Amino acid sequence: MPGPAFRSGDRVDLCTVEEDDLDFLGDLRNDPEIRRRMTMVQPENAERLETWFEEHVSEYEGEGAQFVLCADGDEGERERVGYLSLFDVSRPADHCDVAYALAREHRGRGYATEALAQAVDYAIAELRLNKVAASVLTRNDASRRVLERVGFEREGTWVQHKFVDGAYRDVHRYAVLADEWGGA
Amino acid sequence: MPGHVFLRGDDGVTLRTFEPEDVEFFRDNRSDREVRRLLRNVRPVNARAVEADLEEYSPNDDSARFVATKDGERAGSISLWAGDAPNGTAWMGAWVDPAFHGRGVATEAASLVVDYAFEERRLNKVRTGVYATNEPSKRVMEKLGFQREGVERAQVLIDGERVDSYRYAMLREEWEGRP
Repeated sequence: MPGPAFRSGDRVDLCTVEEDDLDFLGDLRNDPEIRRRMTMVQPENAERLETWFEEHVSEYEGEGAQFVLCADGDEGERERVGYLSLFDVSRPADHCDVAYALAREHRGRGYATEALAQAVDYAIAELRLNKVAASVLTRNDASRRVLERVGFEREGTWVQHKFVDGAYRDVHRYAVLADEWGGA
Repeated sequence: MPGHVFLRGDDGVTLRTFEPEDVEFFRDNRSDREVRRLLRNVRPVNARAVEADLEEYSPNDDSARFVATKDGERAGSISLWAGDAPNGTAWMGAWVDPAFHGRGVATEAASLVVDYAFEERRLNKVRTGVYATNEPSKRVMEKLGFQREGVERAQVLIDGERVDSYRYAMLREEWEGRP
């Protein structure tokens, strides 16, 4: 069973990450297509996921937040649909980065847009952050559309910033600011 | 129902020991938007983190943590954080599961904890804090006769709004002399 909803959109919940979620997250984070988009290159076995869960998710130290995204399936059952992370929280500059991924079978329904809006509202209204930023490969059109729909604006481009699929790739930096944010 | 009854109150309210079987109940409530906004709990707290809390609490901690039950069901949590024995003061904190709001659980549970603080722990003062927007908790404090001692202005940020925090306290002689 996924954990309880910490923030809720119309259809998607941002849920606490529980030990039972690690298998789902392992599939997601190792998925060849997803990890290329997220520019993650390390295989993550159960041992590594467990360490991440103990030291990163379940600890009180430091700021940042990890969520499993959940939605109701066709038969009303609760399904894990993706993952969202707020990380690199910087104080007193008050900004953080956000990253997210949806499982393949749950794409194209607007789940990422809804979850991202909730995460931004959480960061601004609950954590008193001023700016939420995201990096996206310039060729990742789907993710760029999600950012733009939520209200992120492109701030610039980091040239040849990641090595993906055999070549250095450009990354766009996007951000949304607290004084531009009208709520989720 | 796991755990052991420690204090028995009126209206079907009891305070039980906090046990590993209660972890999910704590996790679900501490993640609940309605509950956590008044706790100023802005972090996602998973079951593992609640377990770590429980492990840390037992057995070398002189605070007292309870599950409040109403008519045999888990209804909330209340704790007394001692830690200032020389001055004889302690901090009380509580939350109630939204399914049990408005049923007198907080009032009865707090009353039991105040009794316990004065009669069993020989404390002299029980303190607590209530955010200004939390009308139900302010009513509980006033019903029990806690005095409002001060205001911490714009102390917390709740869903983007700056909110004052009130300090309330009860002294032993006031509690014993109440009507």
